[in-house]
Amino acid sequence: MEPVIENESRELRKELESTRQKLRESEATLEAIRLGKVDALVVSGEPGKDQIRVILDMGSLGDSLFNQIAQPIFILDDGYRILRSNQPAQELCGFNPVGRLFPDTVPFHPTDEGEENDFKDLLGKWIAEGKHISGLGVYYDHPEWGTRFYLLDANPVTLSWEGVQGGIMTLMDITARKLSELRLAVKSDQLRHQFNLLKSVSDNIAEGLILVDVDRKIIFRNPAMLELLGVQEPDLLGRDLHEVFRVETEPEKEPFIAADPSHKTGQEFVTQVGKLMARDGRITPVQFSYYPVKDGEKVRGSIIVVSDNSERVASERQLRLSVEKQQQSQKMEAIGRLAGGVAHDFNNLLLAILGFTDLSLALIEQGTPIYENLVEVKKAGEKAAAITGQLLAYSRKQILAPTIRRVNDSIEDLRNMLGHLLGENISLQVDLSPDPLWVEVDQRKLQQVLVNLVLNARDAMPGGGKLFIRTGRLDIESNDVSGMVGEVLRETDEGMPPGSYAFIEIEDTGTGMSWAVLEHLFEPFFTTKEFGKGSGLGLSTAFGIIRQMGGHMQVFSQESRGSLFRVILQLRSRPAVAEDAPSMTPTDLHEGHGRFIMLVEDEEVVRRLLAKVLKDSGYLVIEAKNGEDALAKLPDQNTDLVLVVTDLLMDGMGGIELAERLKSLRPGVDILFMSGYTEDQHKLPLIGGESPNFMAKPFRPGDFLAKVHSIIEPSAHSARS
Amino acid sequence: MEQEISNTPQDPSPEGESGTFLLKLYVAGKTPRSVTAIQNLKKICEEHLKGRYQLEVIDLAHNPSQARTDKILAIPTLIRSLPIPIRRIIGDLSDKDQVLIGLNIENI
Repeated sequence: MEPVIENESRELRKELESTRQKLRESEATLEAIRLGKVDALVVSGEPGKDQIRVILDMGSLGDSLFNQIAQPIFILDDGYRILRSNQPAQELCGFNPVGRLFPDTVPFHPTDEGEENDFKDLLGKWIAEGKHISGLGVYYDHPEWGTRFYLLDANPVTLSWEGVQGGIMTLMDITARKLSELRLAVKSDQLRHQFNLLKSVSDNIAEGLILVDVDRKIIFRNPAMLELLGVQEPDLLGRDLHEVFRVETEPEKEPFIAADPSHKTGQEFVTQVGKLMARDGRITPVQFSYYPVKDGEKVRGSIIVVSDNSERVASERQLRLSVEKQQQSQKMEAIGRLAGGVAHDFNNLLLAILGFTDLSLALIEQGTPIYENLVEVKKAGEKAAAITGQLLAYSRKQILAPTIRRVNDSIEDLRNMLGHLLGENISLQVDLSPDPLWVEVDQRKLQQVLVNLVLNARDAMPGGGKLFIRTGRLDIESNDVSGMVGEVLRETDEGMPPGSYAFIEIEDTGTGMSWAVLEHLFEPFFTTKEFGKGSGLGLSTAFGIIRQMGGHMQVFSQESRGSLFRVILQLRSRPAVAEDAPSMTPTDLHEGHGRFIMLVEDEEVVRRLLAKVLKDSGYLVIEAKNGEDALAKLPDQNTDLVLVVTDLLMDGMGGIELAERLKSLRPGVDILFMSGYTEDQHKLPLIGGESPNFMAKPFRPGDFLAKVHSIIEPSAHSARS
Repeated sequence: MEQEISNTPQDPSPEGESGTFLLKLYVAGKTPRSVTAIQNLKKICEEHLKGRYQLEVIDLAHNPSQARTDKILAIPTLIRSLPIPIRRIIGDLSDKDQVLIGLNIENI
């Protein structure tokens, strides 16, 4: 071998040996560190800035304890470098963090929001400033375990024997507790939300709500309940339900279930109606609903819901009143129809009785006993006719002659007469509206009504008293009658439509009327007077007349305090010229001149009478018992037929149909209709654009003849009158 | 802290005379292992190298940069500068046999 090569080889061998030696030394150093044979390390830095890091020696017992503790523990030097960490700490990091800087190794975050900066500041200073950190909430997003929550404790300690500072940091895993807290927080948030919802419901419902425990002590109440009880302050809580509720149950004396100690709580849902008295004395009709509150099978108390029934009670009362009114109205209507029907039939009979009596009287010499007898028959017949007339008035089937007048006029006209009617021990006080209130009335009929009412008032004050007559204006805005509830009131119909009215009041200070009397007040033949002293037709007639005039009547009465009758008439506008009632024209007999009149009437006795009257006056009469009969007996065109007198309602063809037929068969012939029902007049067809000729039964033969003659010879008739 | 312990009356030439030991013990303050290492080393030297060793204790706590001279990483570390080759022993030197082997004292 050449020397050069030998030298190089030697150098390389030496170098290799030196490297091996260094490697051995490094391994030995690491081994020594691993075995804990050293207690400080030299950390190289910039030249001149090398540092010595002391390794804490806890001895073998300390080491053993250190590793057995389940909580992660880190020991840091004053540069926040990790000097020691136990097994749990290494598991937390996922590696042995010794020599690394905290907190970069384990990036914790504060649990409380918004403290990140303070937190970093704190963790960077605690050792240098000697601060103790206790129970600081932190979390760490572990790459495998997910988010973990810890309480961090950190205490500065002296690590070496020459005052080198460091710190011990322990972490307590509270992840499980934290998660359950979070779940609880979410749940309590939901509960709070539900509670707020329920509270808002209970605060806003109209029903009073009260919750009591098993001893009936109040544990909850809502604002509506305080309102019902008239209590402002929250002093209901803890009090006994029985003390707080002043209740009157319906039916009376039934125990108030919710507060009755003998009543077993837990009984199923119960309702009860009654009255609740507030502290200020206000009484509210209420309904109590009572529900048990159960927790599983165990009864914890009960809920009482108190609903204000005022409106329901009021509307029920209103409904009852309205039904009663309707019934009353229907009853009056039925009675009216009955009375009208009876009067109609009677009129036919009276027409015959009075007619034949008149005819007979004309044949008999005055002063003879038969004449006198017939005069009595005639008087009785006329009285009977007056009664049927009143019945017709009640059933609103009179012929009215309405004119527009001031309502005060009818009172002024009556004034003198009233003095005589009332007598000395009754004082009259008249209070008339200063405004001219125009109404459309049949003046004479209205006076008849007022006289009736005044006489009634007089009879109610046998020992004397005061009579008030007032007139005025009444504006009705709605059909509401609630303002009158509570008074003893009888109205004559189902109520007045809204509008402007004039009223006449007749008030007395007499005996007044009971409800029972008021109920039948306007019925015909109803009287409280002794038998024979009153017909029982006065008020019913008055009522019928007012209704026929489109008016209304109200009565307010209280026993032993008097009565008030109020006639209410629709206001009219002032007429251009005040009208006068048409005057009746006296009638005379007229000559028939041998002309033909056809008489159509199904009631034989009436037909015979009228035929006789017409014949006696020189007319030739063709009698027929109904429309068909009349058409069959209709004479040819050459016969001088001047008039057809026909009843309206007959068995078979009636008067209206007959008139229709005659219009084409005998266009020039006049027709006179008759009927016992005055309202039938309105059913008649117009003839030549004018109102048809009509006579209401009963009538006197003279009036009949006058009417017939006025139709046949209108010019002659008007010339005579 | 720096101390020099010498029990060699002869000139301790840096080259190292045959049989003269030049030892440097690096410590850091009064950590337990440093203190133990000093005690152990003195005892071994008195027993096995009496009269032919020179000991220097170098405290790095006050001057860490001195560690660079002998490339010290851990404390305590004993360096045998002479006789060459340089030997280093890490730890508190409580295992006397290991120390003697490490310093190659048996061979002398």
